[in-house]
Amino acid sequence: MPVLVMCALSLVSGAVLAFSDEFGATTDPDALTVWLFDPTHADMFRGSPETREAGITPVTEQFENLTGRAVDVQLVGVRPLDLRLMSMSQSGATGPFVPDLVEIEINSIGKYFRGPKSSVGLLPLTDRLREAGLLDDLLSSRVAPWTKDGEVYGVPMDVHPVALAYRQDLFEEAGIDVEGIKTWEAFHETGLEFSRYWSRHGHPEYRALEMPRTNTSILEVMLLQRGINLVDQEGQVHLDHPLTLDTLCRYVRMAAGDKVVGSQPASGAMQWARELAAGYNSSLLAPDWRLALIENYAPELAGKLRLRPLPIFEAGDVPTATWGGTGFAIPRGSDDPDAAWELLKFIMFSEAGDAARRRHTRILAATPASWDDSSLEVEHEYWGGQRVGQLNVSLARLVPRRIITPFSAIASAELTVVLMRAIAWLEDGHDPSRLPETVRPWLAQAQADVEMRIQFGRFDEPEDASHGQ
Amino acid sequence: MASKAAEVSGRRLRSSKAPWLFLSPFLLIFTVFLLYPIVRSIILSFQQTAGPGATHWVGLANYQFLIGDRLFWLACLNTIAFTVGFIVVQVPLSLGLALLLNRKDVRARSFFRFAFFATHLFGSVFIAVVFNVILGSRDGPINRVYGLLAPGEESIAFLSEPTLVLPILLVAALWISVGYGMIYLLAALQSVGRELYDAADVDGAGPVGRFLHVTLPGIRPVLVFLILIGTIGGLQLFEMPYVLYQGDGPGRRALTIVGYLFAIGFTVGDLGYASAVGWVLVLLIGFIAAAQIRLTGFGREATG
Repeated sequence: MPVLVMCALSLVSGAVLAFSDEFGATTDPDALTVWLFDPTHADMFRGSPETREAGITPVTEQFENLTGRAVDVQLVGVRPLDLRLMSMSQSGATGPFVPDLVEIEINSIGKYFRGPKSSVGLLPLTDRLREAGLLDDLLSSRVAPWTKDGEVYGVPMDVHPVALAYRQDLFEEAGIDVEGIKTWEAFHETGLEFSRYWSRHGHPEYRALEMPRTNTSILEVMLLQRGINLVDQEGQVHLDHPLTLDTLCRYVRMAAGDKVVGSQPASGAMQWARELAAGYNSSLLAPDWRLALIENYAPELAGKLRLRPLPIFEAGDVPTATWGGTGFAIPRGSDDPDAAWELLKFIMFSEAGDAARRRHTRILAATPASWDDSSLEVEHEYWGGQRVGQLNVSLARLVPRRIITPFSAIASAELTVVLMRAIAWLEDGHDPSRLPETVRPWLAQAQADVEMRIQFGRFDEPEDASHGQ
Repeated sequence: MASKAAEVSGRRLRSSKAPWLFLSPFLLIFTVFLLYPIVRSIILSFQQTAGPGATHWVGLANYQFLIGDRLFWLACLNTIAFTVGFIVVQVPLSLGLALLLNRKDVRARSFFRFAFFATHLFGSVFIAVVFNVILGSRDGPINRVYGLLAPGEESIAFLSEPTLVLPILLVAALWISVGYGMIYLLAALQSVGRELYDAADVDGAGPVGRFLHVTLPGIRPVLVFLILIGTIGGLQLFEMPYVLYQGDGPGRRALTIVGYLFAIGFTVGDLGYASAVGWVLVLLIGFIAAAQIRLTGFGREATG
C-alpha cells in the first residue's frame, strides 16, 4: 500500500512539473541560452517581479528588441553548473544543449586552464575585446584570473573590494574607536578589550571578528593584502613564504587560544549575517557582495553598522583585498558564439547592462569607467549615512592581483589543514611563542606536497610529456 | 520438397535471429552506457588528459603516483574505518530490532516495522541536510538545548571537530540503514522452522542456546548478505560526507575514496588520475567482497 501511494505521488508531481509553465524551457530554438548560478544576477538579466511591475524592461528583452535574438536565462546551482560545464569542456561537447553564455565562479576557473590553450573549453576573447576597444576598459587585476598565457577567456563582472563591517553600537559602548585602528595587531588588542567589556556586561559570547577555524577564506584575504597568492602565475607555491607563516600565526593567535578575539561562524546559509546581528561576530570582512545580504538578513541592524578599510599588518600592505567573483564566458561548443559575444558585450559594457547591475546588485563592476555613477554617491541610511559606494570605489583602485591556477584549490586545502592543526596545537595549551617554529615544518610539508601534485598534474605537451617523471 | 526445405531454413533463420532481436535493446543500452564507459575509463586511467585533443599516454604513471599519494591512503583509511564501524553497529542493531519485532507480544508491530524501515526511504542527501541543521552550531536544536542546560558555555561546533566526523557519519548512515537491515533479518527469522526451536527445547537449550544454535545458523545467509552489501556500500561512501561537510571535512576526516576521486576529476580536472583511483577502488571492493564470500561460504549453502 505505501508503495502504491508513493507511486501515485510521483506520477502526480511529475505531471505537475511537466505541464507547469514555470519550469518549462523556452520554446524558441534560436534563443541564446545563458546559465547563471546567482539569483540576483538572474534578476539582473531578466528582471525581478518588482522591476517588471515598475515598468522597467529587462535587459534581455532590450537585447531581443535590438537584435531579434531571444535570450533564455536558466538558473542552475553553482556546483551543478560547474560540473556540467566541466564535463562539456572535457568531452568537447557541441550542440543545442551547450549554453551560449555561462557565469563561472572565480574559484572554479583554474581547472579549465590545466591543459594547453587549445584544450580550454571556453572561447578566447582577447581579440574580440581588443577589436571592440573594451580590453582597456577592464580593471587589469580583475582580468588576471580569467587569463591563461596572455589569452583572456572570461570577462570579470566584479571587483569585490573587501572592507571591514563592524557593529558600531557594540564597539562604541565598549569605549572603542574602530576607525582609529590602523593595524591587525592593534585590532587584536582592541578585540581583547571588547571581549573583556562584554564579558563583564553579560555577554561573554560577543567576539570582535568572524574568523573561521575550518577554512581559509579570511586568511587568504589577509594574505592577499600582503601580496601573497598561494600559487602564482608561474606555478610557484608560496605556502612556505615567510609572510604566509607570519600571517597564519597571527591569525591563529586571534582565532584561538587564551587571546582569542575571533569566533567561528555557524554553518548554514547566511548564518554569518544572523550572527552579526546577535553579536557573536561583531565585525566581519565584507566584500561588496555581502552588503546587500547583510541588509536583507539583518534588517534590525539598520544604523548600527559601519564600513571601513581593512587594518594592515605592516607598511606596504594594502587596506583591502578581493574575495569571490564571477565572470562570463562563452563555451567553445556554443552554436552561435558571435551572437553570444554580442549578448556578453550588451550585458557587461552597455548602459542598459550597467543600469541593470546597479538595480539588482550592490556590486562594483570591473569597469572603472562605471565608477563615476551618481548611485555610488548615495548615503545609505542602513550604514549610518555612509557613502558605501564611494568607499568601495576607493578600495577597488587598490585591489591586489588575484591569481587562480588549476592548483590553487589544492594549496588552499593544504593551508586549511595546517590552520586547523595549528589551532588544535594552541588550544592544547602549548606555548604560543613556539607557534611559528611549530608551524614552519607543517607549511614546508604542505609546500612540498602541493609542488609534487603540481609536477604530477601539470599537463605537458605530447612531445615533452613527462608527467612528473 | 525444395519449398519445404526453404521453409524450414527460413524458420531456422528467423528463430536464430529472434533472440538477438529481443536482446538488442538491452545490448545497445548496456554497450553505450556501461561497456563503453568502463572500457574508456580503463584506457583513461593510463592517460593524462586536459580535454579533447589534449590527451597522451602515460602508462602506469597514474598508478605509480597513487601508491605514494598520502591523500589517497588517508581516504582509504577514512573509508575503511567508516565501513568497519558501520558493519559492526548496523548488523547487531538490525538483528536486535528484528528479534524484538518478531515477538508476538509486541503491540503495533506493523507500525513499528514501517516506522523503522521508513528511514530508508529518505535519500542520504536529504538526511545529510537534516543532520547539518540539527548539528548546526548555536542555532541547531542540539546546541539550543545545550545552551539551556549550560548557559554561557560556548556552543559545540559538531561539524568543525575532526574527532566527531566519523561518529556523525556513522549515526547518519545507521539512521538510514538499520531499518533496511531489520526488514531482511525479520524475513529471515520468520523463515526459520518452528520445529527447530521445538527440537532445541527438547534438548534443554535456553534462550541463548536457541539463539546461537538455531537462530543464527538459520539466518546466516542473510547476515552474510547484509555484511557484504554493507561493505560494498561503505567503501563507496560519497554523498553523505560531501553534502554534510562540503568537501574534505575538518582535518580531512571526511575524505573518502570516492570523494577523493570526485575532487581529482572535477576540482582539479585530472580525469586520468581520477580513473586510476576509481579502478583501484573497484579492485579493492572486488578483493574484499571475494574474501568475504570465500570466508563465509556465501552461496555454497544455497546450492547445498
